[in-house]
Amino acid sequence: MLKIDDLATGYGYAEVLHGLSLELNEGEIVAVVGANGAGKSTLLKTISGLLPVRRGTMTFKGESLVGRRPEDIVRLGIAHIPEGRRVFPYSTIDENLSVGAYTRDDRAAIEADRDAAYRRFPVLRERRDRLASTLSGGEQQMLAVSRGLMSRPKLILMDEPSLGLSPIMVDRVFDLVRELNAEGKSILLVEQNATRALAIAHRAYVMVTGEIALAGTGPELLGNAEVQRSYLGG
Amino acid sequence: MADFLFFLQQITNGLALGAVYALLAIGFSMIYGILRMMNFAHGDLYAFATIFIAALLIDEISVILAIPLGIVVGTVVGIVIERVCYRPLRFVDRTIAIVSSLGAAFILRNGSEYFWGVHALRFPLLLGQQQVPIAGVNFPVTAFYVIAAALASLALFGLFMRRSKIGSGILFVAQDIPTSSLMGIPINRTIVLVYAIGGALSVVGGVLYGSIYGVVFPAMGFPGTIKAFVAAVVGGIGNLGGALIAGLLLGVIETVVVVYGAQFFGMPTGYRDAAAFILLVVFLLFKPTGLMGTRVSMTEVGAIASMGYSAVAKKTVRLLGLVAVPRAALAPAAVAVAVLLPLVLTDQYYLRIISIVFMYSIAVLGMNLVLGYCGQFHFGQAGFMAIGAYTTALLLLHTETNFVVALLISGGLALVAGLLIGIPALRVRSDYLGLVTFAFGEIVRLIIVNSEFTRGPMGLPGIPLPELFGVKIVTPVDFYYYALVLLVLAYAMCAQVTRSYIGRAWRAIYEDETAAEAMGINTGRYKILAFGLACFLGGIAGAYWATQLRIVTPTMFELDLSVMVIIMLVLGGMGNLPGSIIGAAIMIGATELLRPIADVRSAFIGLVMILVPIFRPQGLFVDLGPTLARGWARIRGSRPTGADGGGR
Repeated sequence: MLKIDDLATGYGYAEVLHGLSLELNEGEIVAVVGANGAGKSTLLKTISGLLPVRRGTMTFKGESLVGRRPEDIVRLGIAHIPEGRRVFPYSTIDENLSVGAYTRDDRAAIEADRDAAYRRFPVLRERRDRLASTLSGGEQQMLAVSRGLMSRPKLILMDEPSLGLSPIMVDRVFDLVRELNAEGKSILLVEQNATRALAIAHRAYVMVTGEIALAGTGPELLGNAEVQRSYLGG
Repeated sequence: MADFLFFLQQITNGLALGAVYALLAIGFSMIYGILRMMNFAHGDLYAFATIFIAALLIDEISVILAIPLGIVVGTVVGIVIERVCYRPLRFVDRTIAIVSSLGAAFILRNGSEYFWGVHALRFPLLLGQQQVPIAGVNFPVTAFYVIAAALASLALFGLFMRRSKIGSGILFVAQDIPTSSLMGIPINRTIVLVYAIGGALSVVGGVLYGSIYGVVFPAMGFPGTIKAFVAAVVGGIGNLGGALIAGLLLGVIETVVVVYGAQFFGMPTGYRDAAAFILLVVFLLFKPTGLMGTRVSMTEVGAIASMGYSAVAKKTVRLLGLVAVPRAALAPAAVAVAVLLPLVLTDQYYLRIISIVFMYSIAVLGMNLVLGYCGQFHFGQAGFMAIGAYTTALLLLHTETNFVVALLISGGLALVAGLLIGIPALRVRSDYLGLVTFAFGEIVRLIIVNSEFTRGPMGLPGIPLPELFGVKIVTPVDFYYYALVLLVLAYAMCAQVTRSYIGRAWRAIYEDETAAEAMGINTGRYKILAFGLACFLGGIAGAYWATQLRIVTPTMFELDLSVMVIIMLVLGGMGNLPGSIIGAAIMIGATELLRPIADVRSAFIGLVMILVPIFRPQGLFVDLGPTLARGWARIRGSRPTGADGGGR
């Protein structure tokens, strides 16, 4: 579904990804784990078109993503739920959900999707007319995910969804990832919480300074002594 | 009762004027809010398009055609400005983008003067002049029409924002550009739209202005920018409802101040624009977040958008701009050349011009400290030069003061004035200082034009020649050396300060004020110091100017002077001291060379102001230091390490 080959990108003069290759099949949860600064977020930003590709190829369902603008990539069916949630703080919850459907024009279906989001997270419905900045961190994460779903994506890029959440919320977030996957969404999950991410992932990659160091199924990597020592604090 | 009705009448008039300001302010605030860009071309765009409409109407083209055409022109110009001046600079330093917007303002102003003349054009009173007498006071019905028309266009705009897809995107882009992009909002198109709407609304404002006063003229542009800026800040940046209310308020305050000021205190009506400035300062002191509070946090948007790229760009600008190596050898050499120059160059015309270059260099060096090193917006150097010039002129004319004493007093007074306006403004944010100093320059000029002791527009001629220990400074050569001494002293001071811990503190503030503060730097004190030194040097430059020209007039200190000084700084490179002198030399040289095409000169300069930031944001001649250093090293037979890439 998503196929990345020899990808290089960076900011200004600094190259962050140097020839990274990665693959994601339809219906999979693929986790990318690695230390701070390994380039995990950069990878997602490049896929969603926020950063330009410097070298390499990147295709989604056979169509090249290289050189496309973020809005076109959303239209192709990729939603990026950014690190730190990034809800629009001065817009209401309702408005935040609506903007998630910016690329769509089917009003009735948008309405239905918003209702679905409220059914999934009743707490959002209760506060639909409040500003998003009034929500707690966990609620904001629910909003960010719901907002991402509003574009009806086939692939969801999730950047550190558990970051800064309470342990209970962390559980809920990983449950949510599984739930979305069961509904047929493919998911590329970037996480620092490697143990949890590997536990739910079908396959996973370990990133070290802009390159893939290891790849395998989730359980394989979880059992790998090297990974244990370096990333899982074991 | 009659008094009260008269008051109500003034309020009504004020609201009509305020409606025009509101239309200007909303566009300005939107652009400012989304991109943190101060669009100094906003007022000139409004003037240009409105004069265009007036010209069409004079040619007897129907109103029904002329106004839509004018709005189209305003929209298109807005779009072109975005595309050419701002988009290439979106992630570059904001100061540089401001220079580019001033360049656009120059071109528009010069354009309207070129096509339709400097003078006022008649504008038909489209909304009539009906007045309804109530108890002996005539109520202007027109004012109500104006207010209604402004509110109607704002309502239309509001509807567009709410109902249309692209319009609704504006609010999200204003909050978070990258995330908006992830939602599928086309960022570039949305930003273009903001400029287009801003342009169109300002033209509606221009038509209403023309309909109230019956005339439009090129010079209405800059006050328009200032009013829009003030209303945007007072209303809370990016808060459109706030801008509307602040615009109306500004119109009322201005009208009331002018009418009652004249009635009770005999205040000249020329002080009209001062009202806006005073309102702003009062506001800054009491409520720096603006009337309604800033609903959208713009700092965040700017920071996120420019993350990465801007940091790198800034660093490179700095690295390129700092010419540390050759200074030790170059400075004495340059001074020696300058000292010997009059032996070779005997043409008095050139010597006078070079002296003027030195004078400008002093003022630009000051700007370099505050803007180039410390990153604080200071746009009113003309005002401080005027203070210095007039102080020296008055002292030399009316007292027996020696010119050296006069010079120091001039610098001191400029410094004091700088502290008076800088302390409240610097407490908050760099942008406010920009606005306050901009307006301050104009206020100083207004005071000079309207005061007895300065002899108004006639100026002060016949300033005595300076004299020191019985030696009179008379010939151009004398003045050349006098200017050179001042420049060397000023340069030495700047070099010393920027090399010390103070310079390091300034640079830290420039890079990241919050981080600097966290490092224990008392940022307020250092900002004030940079600003104060800049004002001081401005005052010194002005004082010298007065003695060389032997006359001072208000026209010397118009806004163009402040702008000129900024261009010199950017051309030479911010944070690059030798660059300041080179920038001044280029601009003065260009002005002299362009004399034959005087009627398009400022458009030409405007073009330079747009092109240089795009192609060389670090300044035109910033590599000069290292280049010269390499040459110098080759002459001496040694090679500096690394700098020229390793050699053969």
